[in-house]
Amino acid sequence: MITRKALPRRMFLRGAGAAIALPALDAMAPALASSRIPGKAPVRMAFVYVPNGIDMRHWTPENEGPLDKLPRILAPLERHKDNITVLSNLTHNNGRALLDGAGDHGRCCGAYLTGVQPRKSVSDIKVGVSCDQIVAQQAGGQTRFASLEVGLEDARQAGDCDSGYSCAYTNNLAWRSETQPLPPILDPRALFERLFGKGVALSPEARAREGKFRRSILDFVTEDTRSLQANLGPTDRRKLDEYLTSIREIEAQIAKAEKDNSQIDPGMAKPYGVPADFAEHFKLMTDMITVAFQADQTRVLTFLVTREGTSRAYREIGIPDGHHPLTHHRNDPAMMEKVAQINTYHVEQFTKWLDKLKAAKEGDSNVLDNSMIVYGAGLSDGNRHTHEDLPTLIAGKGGNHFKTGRRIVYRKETPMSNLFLTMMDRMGVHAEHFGDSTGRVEGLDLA
Amino acid sequence: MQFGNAKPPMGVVFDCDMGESIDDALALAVLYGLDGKNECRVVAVSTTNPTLASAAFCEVVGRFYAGAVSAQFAASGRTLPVGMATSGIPKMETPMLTAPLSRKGADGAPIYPHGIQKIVDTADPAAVVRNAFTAQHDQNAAMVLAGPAVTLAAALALPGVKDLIARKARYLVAVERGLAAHPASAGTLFAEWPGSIFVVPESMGERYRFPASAIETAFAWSPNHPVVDAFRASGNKDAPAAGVLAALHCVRTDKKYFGASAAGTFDLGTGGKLTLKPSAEGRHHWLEPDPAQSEAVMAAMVELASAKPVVRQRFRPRPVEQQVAPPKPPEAKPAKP
Repeated sequence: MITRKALPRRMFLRGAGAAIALPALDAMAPALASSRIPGKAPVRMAFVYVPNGIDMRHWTPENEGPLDKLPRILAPLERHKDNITVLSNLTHNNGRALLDGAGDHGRCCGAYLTGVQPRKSVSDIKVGVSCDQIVAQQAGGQTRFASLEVGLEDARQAGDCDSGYSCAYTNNLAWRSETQPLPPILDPRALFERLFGKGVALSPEARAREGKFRRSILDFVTEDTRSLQANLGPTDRRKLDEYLTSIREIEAQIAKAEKDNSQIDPGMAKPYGVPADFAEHFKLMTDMITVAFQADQTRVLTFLVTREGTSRAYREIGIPDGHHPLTHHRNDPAMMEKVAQINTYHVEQFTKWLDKLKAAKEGDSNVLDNSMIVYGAGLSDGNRHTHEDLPTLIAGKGGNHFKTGRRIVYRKETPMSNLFLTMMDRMGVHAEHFGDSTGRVEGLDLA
Repeated sequence: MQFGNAKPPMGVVFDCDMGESIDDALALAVLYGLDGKNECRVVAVSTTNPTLASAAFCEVVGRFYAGAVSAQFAASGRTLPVGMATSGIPKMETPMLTAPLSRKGADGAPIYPHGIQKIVDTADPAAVVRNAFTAQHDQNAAMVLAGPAVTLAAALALPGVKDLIARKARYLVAVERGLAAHPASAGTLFAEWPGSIFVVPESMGERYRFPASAIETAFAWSPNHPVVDAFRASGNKDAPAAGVLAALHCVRTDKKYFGASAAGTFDLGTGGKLTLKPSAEGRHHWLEPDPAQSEAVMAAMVELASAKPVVRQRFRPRPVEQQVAPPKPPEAKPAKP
């Protein structure tokens, strides 16, 4: 007979200026068993966007159906082959010119999660509400943050970023309204403060003031932690310990990045908390997202890896050339090779994040299984700027809902909006149509 | 913008039931012939015949006109994804489709290669039609419907498409035979299409038959022509050409090849018989033959269907009516003494 009272799912460790949400613990599940019921854990929806298209020769698996040998760019995902679904032939018609001329980078990114053709303007911006925000607005009340928007590249929000298209289109994925983008958080410290502090990011000045007296955020919640631990069983105690350790590690990584950056270049433009190394930055942000997912702080995420059209160089892997110029390779094998290397490098970082999500247990399942994470780009061939057969995969089973480990090929011109409409359904938000949808996509479900 | 400030030639959306009659193949050839003369642009092709051979033949014809003259262009050019309905009409895998598709050269390779092997190699036809209209200038598009209205009815049911077509399309030219094959979708079309509809009566198609003799003469320039192979496989005799007339009227309205009845509203009775109820507010018309133009019509049909492919130019010249004389050079000033 169970006599101990179950802990509430939404529980925080609190202290001065700190509020740390907890992951799902067995003690939160009434009568022990509910966490073992498939589909009970929250389902998360995330979008990871990489810019400038992908070399499709090395992205597309050879066959439809069960995934066999993964092509070069997807090869890092080999250990997650059973956790992913590769989707082919999805199209964003509203990323195409449609009489608006040049500006495919601006259009493809603006249209990506909205399904709407962006208005060609530098100042009078207009597109549509993105699908993540539709879900956030209708179902986001169940979590502390209706949605999170993160990114890795500092980018301006105004001005002309592509042939008359505002930088708002190339530098944001999420759109709260037709005219209001939600800029991604780039600085790990800012994201940390948002997640574990008072829910708001401090200004750089305030942060510098607080930094002088900085202690671990865990120090502020010591009393709450002790009192909670006393009431937990050994499994939950271990789980809580691992969770708090991961937060402490994140803090340490941020502190290290800040220290490194101040030593390297005190006058650097980007925030001090942004690691100079791309992979380290990716890891730090995704570590925090993992914690946010574990603690059910949010169920909706957009992750703009780098801004669309970026000319970022990848010296970390020996590529000093800009990404965007490389993608206009005019079939030069040397340039194409570098593009494939960058594409693969991105997938490597993504794979490491999936490792973390897979390791984060939720009852008999894990956070990855309870997520649907779209990884993709708004262009397929970055050289010719094509908007059909966009590189797209979904990681996770959407709460034991999707049959994974397969490649599904849709009919040509199938709107990407059909996929997003289907995902919105899975999040409990049912709309008749979205963007330029013509219906739902079929074949994802277990049935 | 690709065409500067001027509108490009009118975009034509072509929907048919390829395989049911050689008329559809000839109509598509005529449209590509007009495209080669820069009188229109074929911007979408779809079929309601739910068999891969139907879509494959449409693609073969598209590839023929895109690449027969220039292999270099064929390699780099992008053929349109062919829309194909998957239900609504019985399958028709007829000799006019299978004969050209199965032809092989001495090396055993297909004479007319294509990329349609599975259903996923085709496109959702309603999306094809909708997407094609989104890329056209206002009032610079039209549609030829040579088959049943199944696809068009589905497209009109998509959000915003009715308004889109009202903005983009000048008119629709349809064929009576195709509409009668699926009365339910025809009813939807008559109720929902937001602009003018011209219908080519079946009797007109019988009156203007595409001459079999032209196959051996006008097409003689090409040893391999998919439409010729299809024509031969479908009986090799003079063929009713209502679809061809629809294509001609759609693009060459200004030539006044045909007359039009007084306005009204089409209705499909219980027997599938199309009738036009006169109405001053109506936007529907029968197309009517003009005996004075019969010779010109026959000549145009043959000339355009047998026209040689023309390599598409990325930046085409403006249509004749939009061309303006170059500005006069400034008058030379008298030299100073």
